Amino acid sequence: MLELRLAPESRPVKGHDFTAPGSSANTRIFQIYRWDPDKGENPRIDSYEVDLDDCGPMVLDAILKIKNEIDPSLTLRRSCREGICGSCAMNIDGTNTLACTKPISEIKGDVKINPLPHLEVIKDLVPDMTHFYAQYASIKPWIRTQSVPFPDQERLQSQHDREKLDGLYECILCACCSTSCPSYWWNGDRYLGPAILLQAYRWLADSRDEATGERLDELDDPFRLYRCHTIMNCTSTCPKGLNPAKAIAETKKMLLQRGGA
Amino acid sequence: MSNSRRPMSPYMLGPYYKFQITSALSILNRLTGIFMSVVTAPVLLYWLVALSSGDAAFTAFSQLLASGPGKLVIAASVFSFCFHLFGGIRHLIWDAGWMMEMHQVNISGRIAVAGAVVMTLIILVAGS
Repeated sequence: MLELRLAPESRPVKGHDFTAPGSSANTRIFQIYRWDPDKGENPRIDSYEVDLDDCGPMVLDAILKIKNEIDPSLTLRRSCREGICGSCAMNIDGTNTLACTKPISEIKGDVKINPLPHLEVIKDLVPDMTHFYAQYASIKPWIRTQSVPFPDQERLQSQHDREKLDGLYECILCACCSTSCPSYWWNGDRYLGPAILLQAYRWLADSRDEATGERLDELDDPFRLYRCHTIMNCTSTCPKGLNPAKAIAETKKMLLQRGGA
Repeated sequence: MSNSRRPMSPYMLGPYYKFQITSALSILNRLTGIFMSVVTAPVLLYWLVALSSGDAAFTAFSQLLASGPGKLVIAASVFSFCFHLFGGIRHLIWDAGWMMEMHQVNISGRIAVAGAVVMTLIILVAGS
């Protein structure tokens, strides 16, 4: 459904201010979304002043500094700190990206940090990804074959066919793109969204997969695939520089070439 | 144990999600399409009806269109047509899988806006 505003109980209110100790001139305010499931309160935006002279260069460094030195209750997902696990995906300075690969210096003024958009919040910067993962499972993201391989041989792929997976296999499923998509905000219950559709195309484009027809059947749906209106917020925000919108366009072309309904 | 309902994380374009050329032009393409369906098409249709209803009705409606608000409706209609035309051409190109890299999207978006403004001005000046 098209919702233009948050429900009253979801609207963030102003929270606490924390000032940095010492007298450094090189400080920055981080405005971070907080919500505690144990209190029946609205989400709030807490402001933390951080001394950048005593902090790593990335937004994740600042968040962890806040967690370590100011407020240990600040809750977030993070793991690899090098842009390969996708855990620290969040909305930073108005666009979705990975906190670990986003330099603080790229942001002008206060650094505003929210959870990935239009998801249920479990706590602070941790959104509920259950539906997203269920959608991923729904496309059966593994190789599907009918032919019986030789017992002493792997399924081979030419270098040329392997190159067709470049720009697809690098996706880390961080959900930055899907949660940047207005179509996904409003129809995410049935629309698969850019991340899952890029993964679906990754298997359509794989020369070793033998379920192309079934995969296209499953995607040929007014909602699952065709809620993509080529807004291109997905490609614009992808922290890995991938192009989900193009993968979706290629999928639509495959359906057209097949002569589906 | 939690007894509170989970909030929805903020998403609104503008205050929480930055307007970019991608979403801004997508919405503008929608709005211009809606404007033509809801305003331009009925006005043109009524113009035809007025024409077939005889001199007096046609003159009255023409005078209405020549008034300040009437001119504004015409200008908005012309711009809507021009922008929607450029937006439609962009979508046709994308449907072929072309021009989908971000730098190309940024360029085609700027061309669409500039082209629509120039085309609108040409039509309005030529028609005045």
